[in-house]
Amino acid sequence: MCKYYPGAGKMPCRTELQPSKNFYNPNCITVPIVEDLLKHNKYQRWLLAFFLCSFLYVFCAIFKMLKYLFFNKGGRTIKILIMNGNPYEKGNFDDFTSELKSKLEKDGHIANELILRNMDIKQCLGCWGCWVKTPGECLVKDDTVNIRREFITSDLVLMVSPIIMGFTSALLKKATDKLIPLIHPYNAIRNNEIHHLKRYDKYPYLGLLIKKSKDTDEEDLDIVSDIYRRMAINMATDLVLIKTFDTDIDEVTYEINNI
Amino acid sequence: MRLIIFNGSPRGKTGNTEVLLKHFLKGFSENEENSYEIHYLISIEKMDKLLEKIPNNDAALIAFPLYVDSMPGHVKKFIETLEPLCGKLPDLKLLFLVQSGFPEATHSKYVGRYCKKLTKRLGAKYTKTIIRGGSEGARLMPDNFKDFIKLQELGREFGETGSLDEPILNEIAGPEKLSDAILSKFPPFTDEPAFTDYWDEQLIKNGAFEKRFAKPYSE
Repeated sequence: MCKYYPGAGKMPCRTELQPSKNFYNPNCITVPIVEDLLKHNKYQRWLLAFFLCSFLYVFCAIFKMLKYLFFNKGGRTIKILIMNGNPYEKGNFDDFTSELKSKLEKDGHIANELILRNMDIKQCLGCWGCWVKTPGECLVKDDTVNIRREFITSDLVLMVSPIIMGFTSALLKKATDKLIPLIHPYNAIRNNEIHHLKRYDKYPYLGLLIKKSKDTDEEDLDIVSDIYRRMAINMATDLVLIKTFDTDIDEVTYEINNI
Repeated sequence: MRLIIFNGSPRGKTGNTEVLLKHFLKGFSENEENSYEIHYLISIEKMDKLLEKIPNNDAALIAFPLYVDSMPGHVKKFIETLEPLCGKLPDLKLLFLVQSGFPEATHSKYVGRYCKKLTKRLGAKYTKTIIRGGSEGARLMPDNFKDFIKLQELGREFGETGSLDEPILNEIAGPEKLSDAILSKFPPFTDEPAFTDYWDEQLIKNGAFEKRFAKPYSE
């Protein structure tokens, strides 16, 4: 045991134990320090390192918590588009997306939901009009103009769909096919493969939210997420979120807040 | 052998898928016992009417171009209508043809995995997926183009034995990935355009060359 007096300088001065003096001195603080505790320990160096590490870890955790408390809530706002590819009127599918939307808005984001089944979406005919006749715009006029505008001006696009016959709905796929005016016909090398050149400077991150059906298994989920990952490469972006409807909505919003 | 074909090309009879099918079927029909019928999915409004036709056949071929890394939307719609047939087609041979404009086969392999799983789901016999890259110009190729001859060979083989020959499939599919030698010919930085001639020609023809980098949706 040793004694520390709050000294005049920055460092406290260390003195030997002097009972008679200390007994009456209220300024004296008794501090057991790590060095003394380990004085006769064979592994003192390792123990010291361990103490330091745990201190650092706790410090980091506190720092992270404070950062989340003060900076994350309502701090960063992103624009999110929810592409609801549910073809069915009945069922509780839409409750999930509307709850997700309101929670995202509560967290300070701008969220917009497009219910694709209520929109007029024509099948892409592969005419390449959007590439060689009216660059950047589809020749066939339908509601997909809105989808494309929302898509390219968002920071994150969540593609939401039930799994039907092992893949996302035909409705969502039909809408996705109509996104090609957003990319350029010219080719470019990306990931050592040929893809399409970007038309715009910035593309939104993609997220995939799927509702499993009775016959959906792990293999189906693998295939779907791999195809959407490829889609993201072609759209010059990343697939940052893959979740099923079994996931808690708070977990989904937490991950979106941390993208 | 009776074969039913579903052509899933949005361009229907004028597409590249049709050209590839034509050559496959040329080989297939060399055996006079074989017969086939083609349905163009893009022009069919009520797809469920096709369902009753499938069980009368020995084999079914679903052909489509790669649209945003998978099947086009209306082909997915057709697949959704097949749901009542799950597990009811134990003797049907199911094969697929996926073609894309990309030169590498990798792009189409992912949807190939889906095709295999779909066959399992329907309870049919998986008879492989014909993958063909670099098909955007297929319409413009002469009939004696080497890949067309291989497709005829594949069709002939299928007409006789009922299976697809793996080595020929690989030859038609082309390289999995581009070789370093080819890659080194491209501009060194990503997102530098390459292969612009094909598109420039069409852009100039339509008077849209000046507007080719237009960004109609940017704020």
